[in-house]
Amino acid sequence: MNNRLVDKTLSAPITVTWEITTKCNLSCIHCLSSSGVKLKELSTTECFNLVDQLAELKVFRINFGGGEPFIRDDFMQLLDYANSKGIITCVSTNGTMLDEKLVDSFKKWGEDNFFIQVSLDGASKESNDRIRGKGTFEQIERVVKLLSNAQMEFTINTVLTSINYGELMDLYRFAKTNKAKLRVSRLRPSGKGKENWSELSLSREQMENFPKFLHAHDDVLTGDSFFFLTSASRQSLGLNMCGAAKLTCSIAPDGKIYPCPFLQEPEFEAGDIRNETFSNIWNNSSILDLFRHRNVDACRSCYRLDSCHGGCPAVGYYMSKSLNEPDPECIANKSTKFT
Amino acid sequence: MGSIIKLSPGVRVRKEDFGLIFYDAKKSDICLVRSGDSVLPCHLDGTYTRESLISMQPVVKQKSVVQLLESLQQKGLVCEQPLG
Repeated sequence: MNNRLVDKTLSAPITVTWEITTKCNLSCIHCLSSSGVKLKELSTTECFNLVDQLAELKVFRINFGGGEPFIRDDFMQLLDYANSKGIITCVSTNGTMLDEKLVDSFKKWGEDNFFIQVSLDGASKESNDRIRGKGTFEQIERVVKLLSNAQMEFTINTVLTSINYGELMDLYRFAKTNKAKLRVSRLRPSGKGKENWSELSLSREQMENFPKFLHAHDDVLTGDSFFFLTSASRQSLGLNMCGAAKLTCSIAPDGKIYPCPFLQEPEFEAGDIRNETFSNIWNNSSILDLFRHRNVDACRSCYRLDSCHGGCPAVGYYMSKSLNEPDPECIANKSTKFT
Repeated sequence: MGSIIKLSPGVRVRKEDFGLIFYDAKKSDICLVRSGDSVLPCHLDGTYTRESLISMQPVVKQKSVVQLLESLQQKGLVCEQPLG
């Protein structure tokens, strides 16, 4: 991907991450959204209106998350509506509310238009349940079998932590056995992840060894979350830099727009869909503009700057309260401080 | 006879000031192409043949459009389908 073209403001994001609710039936200790926080969530009509705007702008894909999206009574209606407008949808779910009937109903959208990610945070009951709560391993195992038997293409999403790091191979095998892809996401110190950062974050040694695993298993997905670790072939996928405000942005349950789901702090609020159009926020927000032109001084002389653009602003921000700090978990910059 | 040129299955495209953005949902692959106004999303909806797409360009641009289409095909973003 030509990063210089991305530096210009696109007419609209490529994808948006939409946290449709903060409500959740689980209480995972690394959750980015501090699920349970009460917000005045967008109504069905407001959601439909926003989908209309995104469709008009030709946003390719909505990644729905939460909270647990399926906890909203109107969520299937919303998926239906977004798909009818030609937008690809992807849902990140804890899986606990899925049953055979619901899984079967996903098929109507077609495999190129609908994607589902189920969260699993350990290959064993002990590690997963320590993070996601008692009894969840068995529930997720059931859902994985359900999706596999239904011949759905799906992804198992694991947030890499010190607790499950040693089970990566087993998670990979579990996904393979169930005809799923494994996606490994990076832990961010936001939401509850902030409270439990010191317990859950990886050591430098673990972070340095993780690329070897990725190199040996090219079919493992990482999204953009490990951009400073990615091999050349992964970089060519265009996932080698933070896409916040350039390729994507985040919609909160109450309609507020942020550069990314990990930076839902008042100081990063780019706008409110209840007060202005999405297009106006995307094109005119000074917050989004700040992220588009973010430069990290300490990274200027780094040989990888053109690839990673300074790493994850969210991790940098939560660790230092500044957007001008390098990603503290960067393994190329030896001066960065791991916890 | 010729063949029509169209987006590969699962690939979407949109116009930007600099040209086109392609998005492959399955691979989460994004491709930004500096193509100006020579090729538009509507040209890839399966109603144009390769030949018609090239011949509608000014002569000076035809070579670059040929190269562009070849490159997009190599990347798997567009495909050709024989007519008839």
